[in-house]
Amino acid sequence: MRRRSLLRLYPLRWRQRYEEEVGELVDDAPLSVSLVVDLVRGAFDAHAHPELGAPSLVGSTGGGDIPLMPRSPGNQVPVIVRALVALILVFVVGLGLLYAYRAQTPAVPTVSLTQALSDVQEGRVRAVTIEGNQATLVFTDGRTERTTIPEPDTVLAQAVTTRNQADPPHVIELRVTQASSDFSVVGSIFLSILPLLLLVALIFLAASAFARSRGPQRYELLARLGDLKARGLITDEEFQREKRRLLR
Amino acid sequence: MQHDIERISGRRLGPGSLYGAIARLEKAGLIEALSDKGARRPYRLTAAGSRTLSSELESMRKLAAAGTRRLAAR
Repeated sequence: MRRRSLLRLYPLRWRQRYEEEVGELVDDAPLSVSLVVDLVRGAFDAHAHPELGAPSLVGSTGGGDIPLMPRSPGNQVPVIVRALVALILVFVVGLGLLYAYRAQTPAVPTVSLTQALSDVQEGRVRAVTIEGNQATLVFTDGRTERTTIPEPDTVLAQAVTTRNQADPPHVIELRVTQASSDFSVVGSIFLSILPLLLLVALIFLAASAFARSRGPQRYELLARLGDLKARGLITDEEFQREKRRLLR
Repeated sequence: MQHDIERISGRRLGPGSLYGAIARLEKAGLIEALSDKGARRPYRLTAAGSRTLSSELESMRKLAAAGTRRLAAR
């Protein structure tokens, strides 16, 4: 992969103006984490300030002391769009918080090992599943509960076996499985950053939607340019050059 | 330009940060690109850029002088 392809993260208008110059710097720089972080941060910045890639109307011969551009028109995002984005953000953050809360409070109640043992001994339990240091107990009435057991298990399986010998008609089903912790660790890490990933994707989408929605603005700029030329403030040559840059 | 910045400030500026700054300065009309061709495009200060820079430097100089005086008077 060429390092330059990192610049695809930038908005189109920014790339049209700066990609060639920055690309050369990027190709010369040694590939490092800080380079990637720098470019990703820069891409965020460029998406957040879409006016930066826009052609400046300050001509190279006319001197730069008259700011011909209207005062940062790029910042005037319609209120309704802002409100919508804020609403979506709140929604996504809310979902993320809800998810975190759910992850903290499992739907199956957790009881102490003593409680689980007495449930087994008193014949309230129909099946026991032992997975690593977690055991799930299914009651005869269908309820379930969880408990944490020492690993390797010395008490719970023993209690179930004793109970089964004492009361053969009501055999408690005992399943022992290996904890599939490898997958669950990776899975839980992925799930825990999922809201964050969604948020980042949403911000990128919103930023590029902003940038696109400003398409018609360049015709306004063109009209302004024509006006400047008509008033003799810029020469025809300057007008043609800026026009080419605007419509590129 | 990157080497200059590193030499003067002692910090290396990545291309993303550098062009974030260049884009803002250019947008504000303080610097301008000299030629439209070539990847190694040179930039120069505009008249407004010179004025802004000299007033910034002047205020930094005043700040440094005031700070040095206060420090010496301690």
